[in-house]
Amino acid sequence: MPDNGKIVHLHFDGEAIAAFDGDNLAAALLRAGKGEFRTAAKNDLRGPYCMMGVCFECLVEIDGMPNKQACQMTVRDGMIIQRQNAPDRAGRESG
Amino acid sequence: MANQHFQIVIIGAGPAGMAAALTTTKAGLETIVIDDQKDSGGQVYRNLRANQETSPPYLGQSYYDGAKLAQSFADCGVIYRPDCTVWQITDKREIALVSQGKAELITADYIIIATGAIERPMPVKGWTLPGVMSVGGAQTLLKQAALGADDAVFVGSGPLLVSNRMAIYPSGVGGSGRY
Repeated sequence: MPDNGKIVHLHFDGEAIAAFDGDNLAAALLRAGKGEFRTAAKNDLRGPYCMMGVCFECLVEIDGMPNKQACQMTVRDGMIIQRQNAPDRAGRESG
Repeated sequence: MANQHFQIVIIGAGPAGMAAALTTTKAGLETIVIDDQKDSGGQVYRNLRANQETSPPYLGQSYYDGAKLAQSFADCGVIYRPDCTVWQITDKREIALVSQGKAELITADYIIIATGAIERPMPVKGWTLPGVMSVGGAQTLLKQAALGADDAVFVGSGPLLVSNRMAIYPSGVGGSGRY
């Protein structure tokens, strides 16, 4: 556990989450019970899969910057994380 | 600004990249190792230095045996660039990389690609659902974050899966994995 006694505070879709300082972001969110990180086409829910930066299933928006791999990030106090939703494909045939 | 040039560029700081760096630096070749993770070790020896401080036994002796290689790598005089992603290699042996949001180009006489392996998952219905992950991903959560799952169900019979289940089961970080 990356537990140096310090706690940092994150926001995930507007909800306050406490995390261990130095923790991996994907791990911190999973620890807080947040497993749904983004939606893909057809609004399928996706979450961390490979944890090593190759599958891109854990993409989130961090401080307004989209397409960040949560499994490759370290938590930072005040980090604002949003679920990343697939573009609205309403009206389009989605195969 | 002239691009930096190296005799040897090694991509990947896992066991293979570290071992290659020991060989090339011993031969007196100027070597840089580029790795996209924050610390050396690759996936096998991920987060080894931090885990050595508390030495949770569930990670197994073979994991801690990596400390010797990691220490030799740290001492071998190689230039080591973590947190640095290679996105292109040209036929002129130019290596395009991104580090801390900045793009760079370096050149090399020789390039050693040591980017390791990835799992080959067997897609079954539901395999992309949140809460479903590769056993390698689960193992990474153990090494990186001491995070296990009390109610994990393991599907399959590969060696990585068996070793991960054995890691989780007696560890106390998450207990009753079934398969």
